[in-house]
Amino acid sequence: MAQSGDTTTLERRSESGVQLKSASALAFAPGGVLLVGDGLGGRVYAYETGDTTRHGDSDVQIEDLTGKIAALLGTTSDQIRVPDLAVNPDSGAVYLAVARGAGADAEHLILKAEPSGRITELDLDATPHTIVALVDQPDAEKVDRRGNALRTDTITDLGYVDGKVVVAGLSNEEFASTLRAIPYPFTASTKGAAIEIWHGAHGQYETNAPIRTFISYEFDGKPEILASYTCTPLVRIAVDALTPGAKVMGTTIAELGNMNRPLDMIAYRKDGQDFILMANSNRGVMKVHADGLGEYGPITHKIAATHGVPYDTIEGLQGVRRLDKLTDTTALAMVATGEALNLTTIALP
Amino acid sequence: MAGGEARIVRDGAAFRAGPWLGPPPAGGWREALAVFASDDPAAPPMLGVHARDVDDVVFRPRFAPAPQVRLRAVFQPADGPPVTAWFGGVPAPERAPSTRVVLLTPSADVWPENLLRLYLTFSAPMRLGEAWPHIRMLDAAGSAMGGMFVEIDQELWDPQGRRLTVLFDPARIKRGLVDNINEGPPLVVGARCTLEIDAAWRDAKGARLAEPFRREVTVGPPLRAALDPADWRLTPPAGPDQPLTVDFPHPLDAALALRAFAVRRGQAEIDCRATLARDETRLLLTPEHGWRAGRYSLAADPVLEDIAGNRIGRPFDIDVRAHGRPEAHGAELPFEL
Repeated sequence: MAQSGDTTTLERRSESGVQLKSASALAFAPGGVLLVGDGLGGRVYAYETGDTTRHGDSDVQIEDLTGKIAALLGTTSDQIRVPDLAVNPDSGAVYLAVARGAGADAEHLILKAEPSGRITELDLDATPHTIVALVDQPDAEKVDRRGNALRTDTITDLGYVDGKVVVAGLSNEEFASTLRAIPYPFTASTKGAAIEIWHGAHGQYETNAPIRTFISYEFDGKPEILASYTCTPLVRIAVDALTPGAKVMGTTIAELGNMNRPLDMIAYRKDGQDFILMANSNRGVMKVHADGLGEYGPITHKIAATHGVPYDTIEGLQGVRRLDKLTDTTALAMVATGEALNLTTIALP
Repeated sequence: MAGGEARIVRDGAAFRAGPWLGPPPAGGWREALAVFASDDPAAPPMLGVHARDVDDVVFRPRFAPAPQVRLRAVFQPADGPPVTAWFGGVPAPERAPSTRVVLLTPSADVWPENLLRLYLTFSAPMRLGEAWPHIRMLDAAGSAMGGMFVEIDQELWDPQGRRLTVLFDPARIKRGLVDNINEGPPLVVGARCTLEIDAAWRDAKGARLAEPFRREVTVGPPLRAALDPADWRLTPPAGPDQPLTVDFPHPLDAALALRAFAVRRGQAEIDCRATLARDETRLLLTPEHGWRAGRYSLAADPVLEDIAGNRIGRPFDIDVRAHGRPEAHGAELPFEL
């Protein structure tokens, strides 16, 4: 264990006893490295899965995912939650964050679904990994003296962007956002310090606003973050700006309809054009035409419900909760159909 | 269990099948013994670890199976027909509903139009991941008003799963945003509405709530100003064991108010119990070891917010054209005993 100021990074190879307190967000870094966001535990784990070979067919179809997972874990479907998934771009295998148990005392684990449909558990102890602690958390002891420590952080999304693990969080108390950009590989001096993310409403009103979901996106060859706040659809944020202690203002480039929030996004290229596929809370799946996305200026005035980047709504896709890219032409969708949750492979529209 | 007829028994947390006399099966021990926790023929067997123990194959599940799940164990001897045995399947006793909502803050029955969040506290840990269908605001006619809250999958619970934070949609609260312009704020001044929690919401043990919960409120004017400590009134304690009382003009966020204040004597922090009263407009700080005569100060952390997200020196949504970009800050108020 190495300590450096306000940050602790653990390097561990095969020590036993990894206990995820939560696993709300998954993503991959290059080389089959699975990133696991544990907001409750105040940590991000990076697992070197070694899963870097693609074996033939990549289509994944799993009907009644929660039922299958419940069967694996010896319980009933109503005791299973699947907060997030990530496709390993190197192997095409799907990694699932799974909670076994109905309440806050659930056990958290990572399952791996192969294209064959076989589901196995990622051995969190045996898989080489590094950990970074997220700093700027309130002093739990101090809070405890006032009764119970009730504050929690939830990681709403994380991703690997240009050498950094970017972590978006939301607290159950203060509204202020906690975005972090942590250089990867994690080292002893790695800092997971918070960056203040602000959101301006059309040049007039500003708030310190949490980010809900984001993707890495290149503008003129430079990686940026394309993000959705809890309060507005699409903003861009320069990765260079994400330094500890910085105050960063996102630039709004699109409004995508009233009362609508993106749940998940993927970027892809088809027939020489750039697109973003977006699963939404309220307006189905949208295919955003992203050619020349960098040329859309900031929206700085009051506007109608939709504005900026054009998009189509994909009628055939309903109930999509999560998306990830599977191949250059396909995506994996986690789809809620009634009570059931299915994993299905879709052609990129 | 060496020799004899093929059979499967439950051995504590493990399943034991035998006899197995030859070399391990080509595809691993899972070919010899599998335990299924589902009737779905497409469902995989339980995860776990296999081992050989003398002439037995032993399977230890990754998790202790839930008692109500019916388990089908299948042993395939090297030479002979498969053996199936059933275990578990004890129906969980019906639980009498006992969990209820014990606290909703803001406690006041007038809520500002730009109320940012609610806290719902339950008497026992709740089931996670199914909050949104059970929480609604009803208008004066009793119809559900949609699009009120930030319904994120990752519900914002405390570590025990007893207190849920419910955020009103900031896109409708924050001035200048499309949803604020087109849909208006979630709550409208003068309206009477009701927060309703239905009893079908289940607790962590699977029981419904003992009763639904309703709170009728009137919507008041928005709170748009930054918190100003000059508006706070300190009443020194009446005796060595009595609380310091701090009164505020508007309700504070209940969670933040309890942890954002500290009492100091010089550099030392005094251990105090914090409680809120009068609909979160009064904070009572009671020392663990009594007051002594002397000079103290009440310190407020910059994280403090009122129920509309306004901080000391900085409102929730600031009009930068009119006011620039002031920073939220802390405050220190002296008092003497």
